[in-house]
Amino acid sequence: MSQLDPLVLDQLAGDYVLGSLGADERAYVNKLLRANVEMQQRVRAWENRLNPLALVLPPVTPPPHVWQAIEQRIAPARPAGAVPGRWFAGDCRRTVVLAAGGLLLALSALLPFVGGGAPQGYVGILAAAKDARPALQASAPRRGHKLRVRVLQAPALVENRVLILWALPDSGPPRRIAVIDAAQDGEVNSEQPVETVLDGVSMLAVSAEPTYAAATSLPHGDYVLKGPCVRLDD
Amino acid sequence: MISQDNAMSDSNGLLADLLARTALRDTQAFHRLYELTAPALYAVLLPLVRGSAVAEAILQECYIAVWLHAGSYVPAISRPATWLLSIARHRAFDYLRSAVAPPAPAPAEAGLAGLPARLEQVQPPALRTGLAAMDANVRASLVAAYFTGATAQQLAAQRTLPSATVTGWLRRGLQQLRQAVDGAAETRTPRP
Repeated sequence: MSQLDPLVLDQLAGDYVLGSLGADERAYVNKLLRANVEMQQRVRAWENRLNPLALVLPPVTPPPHVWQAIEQRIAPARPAGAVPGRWFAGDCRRTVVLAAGGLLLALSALLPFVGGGAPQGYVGILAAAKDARPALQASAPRRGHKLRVRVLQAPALVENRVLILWALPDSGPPRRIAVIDAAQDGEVNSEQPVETVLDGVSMLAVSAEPTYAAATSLPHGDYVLKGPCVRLDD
Repeated sequence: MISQDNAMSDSNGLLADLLARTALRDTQAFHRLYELTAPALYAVLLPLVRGSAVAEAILQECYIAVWLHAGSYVPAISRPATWLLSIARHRAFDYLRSAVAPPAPAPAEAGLAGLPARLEQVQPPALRTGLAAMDANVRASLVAAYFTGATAQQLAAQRTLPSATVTGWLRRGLQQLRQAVDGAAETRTPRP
């Protein structure tokens, strides 16, 4: 990626900020931006050049319910799960016990992933609301951005929805980890280092978001999967 | 008291301070930041996403992102207005490029009929000069792309033109703006 012609990079950055790129080209630039510092700088430079244009539009006061919704979402999280969801509404205890039992299986699955010696990393087992059987296993070595997602039982997928994996810290709002493909096993890149995003986290969850909200920084509505996450020490 | 018209453009120090306090989880500062800046962001989102319900949802996501990431704002890199507008616009583009978004309208249909006159007031002057110096087709395409989020292909289809023609206009327009804005900045910055 870093071998791209600076002129091409700059053209792409300009088109990206202008908003004239199609979906595929935009996805390509988003991918570049994750790792390419030069591209990040070029995009910032174009934002500084072009965004004063937006200030010529007469301001429009948004309806009051927008702020009310924001205020509600930033309110201090409740102790057991920041987002009210059906997962906790039913037979929560039984699910937790069964899912925690699945952790034993997960530990054995994690060993080859984290390399030789004692495992150092994280593992979570998630289950659907009405089905206590584990549906998804997420595991990660302590350092880096990669998480392995193993589908134990694929959740029902809805058209125009994307699944997002969240870390639920013991206090504070949910932390976005990554979009996942729950149809097959695979690896995902956490948007923050694993050690950061899973610090103080004892639960993981998956939400199903509308495609247009795939970039959301907080989940909406109920979680489709949820379960405990543990840190594996030396 | 800062009027709403210039709240985003003329209050960098205040907005930077409010962002810094928001990063410290000061909800009053965050609310004040919202009051001062949300009208400008909402005004940008409405013609981009063509619907108040979607604009409201994206606006909400923007400010949740601001609440969570205010600490990553760096005053030396961008003005608060630029940073906030970038968050809003990129989220709008993510929506626009998704399968559920409707096709981009022409600027007049997007409620932007009075835009050409307003662009004569744009700040900084170098940006205004750069726009004014453009060929009319180049300027119209660039303005439509910026304010309606239309892709080069969509703009070409609206005008029944080859896509390459509009892509060329957009590239030329961007280079002209770059020369105008960066040239003015170099003139202001004394060489060592």
